[in-house]
Amino acid sequence: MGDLNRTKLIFLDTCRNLVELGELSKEEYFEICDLLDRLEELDNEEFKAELRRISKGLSDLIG
Amino acid sequence: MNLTEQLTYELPMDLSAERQILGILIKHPAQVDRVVDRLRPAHFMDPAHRRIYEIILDIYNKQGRISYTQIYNRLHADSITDSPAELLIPLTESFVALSELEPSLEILLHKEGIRRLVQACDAVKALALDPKNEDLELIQAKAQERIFAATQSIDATGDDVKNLLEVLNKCYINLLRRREGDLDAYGLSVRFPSIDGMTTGFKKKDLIILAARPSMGKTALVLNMAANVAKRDIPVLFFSLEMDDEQIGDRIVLSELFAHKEGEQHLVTSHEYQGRLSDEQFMVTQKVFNELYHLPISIVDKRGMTVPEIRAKARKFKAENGNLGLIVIDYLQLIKPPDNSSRSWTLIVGEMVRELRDLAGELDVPIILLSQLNRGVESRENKRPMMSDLRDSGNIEEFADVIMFLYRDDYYNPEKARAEGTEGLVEVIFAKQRKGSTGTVQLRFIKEYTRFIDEYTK
Repeated sequence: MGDLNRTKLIFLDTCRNLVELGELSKEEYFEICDLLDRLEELDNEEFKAELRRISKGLSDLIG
Repeated sequence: MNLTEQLTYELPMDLSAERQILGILIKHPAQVDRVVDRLRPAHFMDPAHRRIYEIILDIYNKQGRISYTQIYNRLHADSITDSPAELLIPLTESFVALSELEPSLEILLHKEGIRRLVQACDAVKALALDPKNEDLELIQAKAQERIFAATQSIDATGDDVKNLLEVLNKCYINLLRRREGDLDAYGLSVRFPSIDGMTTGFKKKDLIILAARPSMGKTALVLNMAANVAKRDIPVLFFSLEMDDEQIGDRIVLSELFAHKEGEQHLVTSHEYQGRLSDEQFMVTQKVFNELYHLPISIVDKRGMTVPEIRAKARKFKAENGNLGLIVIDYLQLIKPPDNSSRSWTLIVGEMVRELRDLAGELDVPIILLSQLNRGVESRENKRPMMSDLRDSGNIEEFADVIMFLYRDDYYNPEKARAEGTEGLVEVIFAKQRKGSTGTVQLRFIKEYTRFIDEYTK
């Protein structure tokens, strides 16, 4: 759990930087936050699908 | 240590315990309810931890759940750090077993308690060394206030909410004590059955006003009460702003001498006590002294005391005498008001009365505060005191839990009293009782012995 939360925080930092670079909108950023809060409820495929819906660019970046 | 030497030290803290608590609360938000009444943001020494705890409380109160994402965004919005992740990642790495919450909490409470003491000592040191502060007694009073406040905060662990079981347990113990004949089980008995009957004993935390015109016997009655309480080994603290300690001592002795009679004849009259006693009278008086020596009555005889001074001395006395049973203050109008106050006298008196009521609550002891009455009573045909006669009454009526008036008809109508045989009869008028009924009881005042007798026990 500790590792998962650590990963979430690093991912959030990355997303926040993307917002500041204009690569991600604020609306997208908050949708991602919401997605991270529901992460434990989703399996890997559901997460990827949700992420793709929010931001195709970011989804492609993660692979 | 040289006074000019700078004392350098680090305030006690445990950052690891702080991290553990935050980590547990984020992972188990429902635990916030368990700690919120004991743990304040000030318990966290690290400013970032303090802020995170504030955010946790806020988010939990609004939403009932907490996540790192929410805290991350709040920290970012606060702009207190460029990288909230750097602050939060150590929390995720803490060992966050729920069982660690209570021990970590105890550590934080302990550290914060010590910090408060150290900070209070620093403040006292600064106060004492400030050349602008010249009044030693004022410095001592303020110092005591700081130290007392610091020690109080350590104990303030949120026991304001008591469950009914705890409360009923205490009531049941009192019930058993009363059944076993302990007259102090409900309130403090002053061993005047008529008064005890009205009050069921003076309650802890209560402010009791005893008011009368001069010469009615206010001081005599409270000294009688104080002696009756102290005879059961219950400490009494008596603040006398009018009489000095020897006058009070003589009054207590005289009052006790009243009980020493041969037939109907007093062995030592009050007049004789003031003069040269015969050997037999001296023996009787010495016996009274011996009976009184051990009574736990402490007297502070100082004119012009302020409420903060009274409070400081009472706190110190309570700290040294945990079973302090009664405080008496003789009397309200002689308490020195605070300096440089531009408020009306009525407001100032109201504030002093409120502070004394708070003191009764803080020390968990009844306080009897004597008060004069204004002259308005003299201009009425019926001179029995009323609430409106409380000089500068203002909020006295509002703040007092009990208001008692003394009235002696023989003071105003001596010939009538002589003719009717009512000399010395004193009406004790209960004009207000927050926890009991109002009404009037009678005592007899033997003025030359400053002794009250309850006719009920005759």
